Order: sequence, then C-alpha cells, then structure tokens
Amino acid sequence: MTAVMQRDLNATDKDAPRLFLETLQDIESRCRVQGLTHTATLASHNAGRYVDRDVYPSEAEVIMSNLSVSLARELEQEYFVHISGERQRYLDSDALFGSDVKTTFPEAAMDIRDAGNCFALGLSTSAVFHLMRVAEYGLRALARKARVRIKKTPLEWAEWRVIIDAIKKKADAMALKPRGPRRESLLEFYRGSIAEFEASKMCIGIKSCIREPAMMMVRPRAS
Amino acid sequence: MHTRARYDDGQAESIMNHVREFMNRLARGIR
Repeated sequence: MTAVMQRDLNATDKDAPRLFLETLQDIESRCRVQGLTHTATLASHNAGRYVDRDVYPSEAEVIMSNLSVSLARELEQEYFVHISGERQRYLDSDALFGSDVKTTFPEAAMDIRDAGNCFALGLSTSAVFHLMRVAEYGLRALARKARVRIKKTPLEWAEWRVIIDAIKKKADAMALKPRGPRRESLLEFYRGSIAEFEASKMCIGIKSCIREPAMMMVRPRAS
Repeated sequence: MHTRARYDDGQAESIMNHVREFMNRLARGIR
C-alpha cells in the first residue's frame, strides 16, 4: 500500500484529487484480489464519496490512516508461507517441463503444475505423487505410439509392469527387422524412454509396479 | 503395519528430473 500511496510524488496540487481517487481504486482492487474484503470495501466506499468532489488534505489523511489500520487488522488474520528464492521457479509454473511437454501433453498440465507447487512448498512426497501421475500419462502415450495391445484389458486400466513389458516386447520384435535409420531411431526412442521411466521408478522405490489406485488418472480430476 | 514411503527434497528433485527427461523424450518422439 505504501508504494501505491507514495506514487507520483512530483504531482502538483491540481492532480492530487485525481491521484487520491485512483489510489483508493487501486487499493480496493488489490485488496479484493487478496481476499482482504473489509479494506477493499472501505476503499470502495471512500472512493465513491469523492467521485464528484475534491478531497481536503485532512480528510485524505484520516481515510488513509483508517485504511492502514484496517489492512493491518486483516493481515493479522492471514497466514503466509515463505518460499525461498530458488524454489520460486517451481511455483505456479505453466511450463515447468518445457513448452514441448506442455503442448504434447495438455492433459498432464495440471499434475505438472501441482508437482511444482508441492515441491516449492516443501511437500516432497506430494510432489512425487503428482510426478507419478505425470509419468503415467507419458507411459500410456508411449504404449499408444507403440500400438501396444493388452489382452482383455483396456490400456487405461493395465498395470505399469504389463505395459512396460509389452513395449519392450515390441522393441525386441523391431530389433529383429532389417537395420535402417528409421528402425534405429524408433529403437532408441522406445528403449531410451523405457530406461528413463524405469530410472524414475527406481528413485521412487517401486518394485512391484503394481498400479496404485490413488495414482490412477483414468477418470478426470474433480478440480 | 503397512507404511507408505516418504520422500525428501533431494529424492523428489531427482525424480522430477527423471520424469522431466522422460516426458521431453516422449514429446520429441511422439510429435
């Protein structure tokens, strides 16, 4: 609020009423966004009073003082979480994994964002939960790319181990085909991707690869 | 009693790096 109140210190007396009104409107909108409704309403009420007439300096002083007290009281009711500078880049990031991932996997965007938010807040286990959901989107996309079919089970319901084995089997069958740039490129893609997925799985300590129901993302998220 | 794993910051960051690499590899290969 100090920044808002002190702006345009070089303004002339003639500008003062307009700046006062703009400052009140600015305070109102900023407080409204932050949920500081009492101060927002107070600013709005006072702004309404001075739309048609100029404010006297003594009135402006009292109004600003009242707003200051109101803001201080409201802030006392709030709790703030500190996020260190180095973790800021993880917070509310729309493209934490880069623009390629963002455009190729829009369905994973919310979990990627949540993983970053959890990590920024120091909720590491929660971050891993969301990361596993992200990896699962990737694994099933890889299976679709490899045109994997699981007997009697839709791909969305198959366990990770079954899907990984099926993709590996596809890659092994591909390795028996005549050499060529396309075959080499596809083999590198499938085997490299599975190796990266398994590396993340090793970090997590998942041995059985049995699908955790809590991590399933077949159904759309409620929020 | 069954207990679920918990992860520290270092483990979570390592997992995030692997998943990021996995997803980027897929994004490049699937497009």
